[in-house]
Amino acid sequence: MKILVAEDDAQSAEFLKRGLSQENHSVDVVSDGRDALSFCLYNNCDLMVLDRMLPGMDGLTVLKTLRAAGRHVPVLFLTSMGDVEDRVEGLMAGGDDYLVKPFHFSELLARVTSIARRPPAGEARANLVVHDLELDLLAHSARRAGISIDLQAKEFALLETLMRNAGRVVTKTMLLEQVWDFNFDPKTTVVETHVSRLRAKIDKPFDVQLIHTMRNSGYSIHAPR
Amino acid sequence: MRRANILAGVPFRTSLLFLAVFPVVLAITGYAILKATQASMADQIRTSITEDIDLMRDAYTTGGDRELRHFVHDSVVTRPDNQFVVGLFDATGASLAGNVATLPAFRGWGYFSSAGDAADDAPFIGFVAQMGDSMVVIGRAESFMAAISGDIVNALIIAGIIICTAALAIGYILSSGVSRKLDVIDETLEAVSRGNGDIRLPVGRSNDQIDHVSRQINAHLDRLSDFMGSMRNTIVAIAHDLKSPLNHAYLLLQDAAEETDPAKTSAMLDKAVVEMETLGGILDTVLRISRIEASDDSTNFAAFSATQLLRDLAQTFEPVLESGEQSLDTAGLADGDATIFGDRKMVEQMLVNLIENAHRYAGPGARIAVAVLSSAEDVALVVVDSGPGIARHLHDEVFRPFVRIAPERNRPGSGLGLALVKAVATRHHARVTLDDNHPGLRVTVSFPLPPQQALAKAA
Repeated sequence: MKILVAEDDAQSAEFLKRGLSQENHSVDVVSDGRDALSFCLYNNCDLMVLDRMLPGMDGLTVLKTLRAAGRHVPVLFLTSMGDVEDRVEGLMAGGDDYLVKPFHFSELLARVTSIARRPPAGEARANLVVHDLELDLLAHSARRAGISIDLQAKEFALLETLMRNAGRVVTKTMLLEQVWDFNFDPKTTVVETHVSRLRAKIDKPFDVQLIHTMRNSGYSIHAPR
Repeated sequence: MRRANILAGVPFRTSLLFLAVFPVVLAITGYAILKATQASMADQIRTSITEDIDLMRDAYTTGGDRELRHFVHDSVVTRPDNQFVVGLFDATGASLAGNVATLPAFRGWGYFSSAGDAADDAPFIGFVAQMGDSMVVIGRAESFMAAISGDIVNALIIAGIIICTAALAIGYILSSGVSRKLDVIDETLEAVSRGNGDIRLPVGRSNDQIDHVSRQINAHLDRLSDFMGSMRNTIVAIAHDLKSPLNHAYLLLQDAAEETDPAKTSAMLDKAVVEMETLGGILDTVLRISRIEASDDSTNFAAFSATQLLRDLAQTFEPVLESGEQSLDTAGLADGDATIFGDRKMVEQMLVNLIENAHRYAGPGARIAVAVLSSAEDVALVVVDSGPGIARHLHDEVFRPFVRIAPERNRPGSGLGLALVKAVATRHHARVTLDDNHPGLRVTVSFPLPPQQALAKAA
């Protein structure tokens, strides 16, 4: 994937370039908002990692200008401005995701992968399937190996998020944001407890385990490999 | 106190303005008074002459020419001043009695002299009338009117001078008083800006506007002083609490640098990352509290169901509490649907902090309950636990940032949870109270009822 990193802190930019390159992405780095804008306008790129406080032109203006020009390149904000209002502002401006510094590289990688494989907007899916597990989004029901599984609302939302990202890592922070709409860490084991409950219903009665814990990263649901 | 300050003072400048305007107003008013007085006196003279003519007609009607002649004669004798003239003439114009030499040439009203010559600038205004075969003339002098007018003008000029002098003096005295007070305010604020946070403005007994402003400034200085004190304490507390994870991470990184076993190195680095996350979390929460406290923007405020919010949170946290061998009682959410007005996400974070605190400090086996209590005055969100609670004398203390009560010092947590609860409550004009639950802690956050228009919009 061709990724543009717009980051004025040289150390962070180098860290991102090295890490993303190791994951086989092609990475370009710019340190100025105007350079980021012109790069995206005149070059093909699959994703932009954008700092909000850039010299020349701030990240929010870069994104708004891009969207106004009809460019729909996915944008992941990577910034130290982490308040709820800042997040809302970034996402409302057309950002696809928002990650606050300091960050785990695995968190960034999970989000980059998630954004890149996200289905286009407007593509509605009626059901999600992983191995023998089927989630009917319209009937709000789950079945595994033909057996109906009773899920509470949060368990259903948790499973839906994992299955929409099947095969990819979904971090704890991503789950808090997408399932509970929490933009803060509740300091308790909310995610772990609910995943454990979900496992008890989805995996425990069956021979094949589908939900996997990824060390220091998060969770992933996938068929046996 | 400099004279220039006094002369530039508002009271003195007001008195100067008064001096500029007052003579003009006095001249216009005086002219109007003079003209009205002159008109009134002229009316009185004419009325008096008319009355005299009527008396002469009565005398003529009663006693004929003889009585009329007596009347004229008596009038001259009883009024020897030069302000009154009367004359009686026969049909040929020859004088029969009185002190008018010849019969004036006009009939009715006119001006004439004592010699009987008619002229517009003559000293007497009078009336010439026929009674039988005789002619009578009665006149009165207008010279006294000029004297009275002069007196009025003089009185106005003297009054004007006295008033202007008094206004100038009062302006100067007031200006000097105000200037003295402003000098004190200036010196006091200068001392405050140099760092003297304890100095306050003197408040006089006159209770004037400057005293009122001084009281306001003193109140602001009190708040500023409290704020500075609290900020100083918070900065010290932040520095102290940030140093702990920073120090832990520093030690772990040093150990990791010297460790030869890759597995141990990796574990140490993971721990160092966790410490850095703690550090970041503390900074994020401090910034969040500061932003909530500093903002008065209510654009995100809307009416929402507090009961539904607590039901959602109960569903999220019930498994977490059960995993800690605790139970969550949601009977207080069974009925009704209480609405509050505010920022839903802010209130959600506040409630999460309260539930999280109960989970962390109430201990295994504790019963935790959440409830919404609606009354005619407010909507109260309640989180109750059956843990050890907080001693009453610490109830105010625990809302301050980084304050953790002694036994909890070694437990995880930054001591910011209740500070954030307080900040969110204050931002919503809500009241937070801590009570003893016998045993345990009962936290109540009472929100004011939402405005009617917000309810209508939500509906």
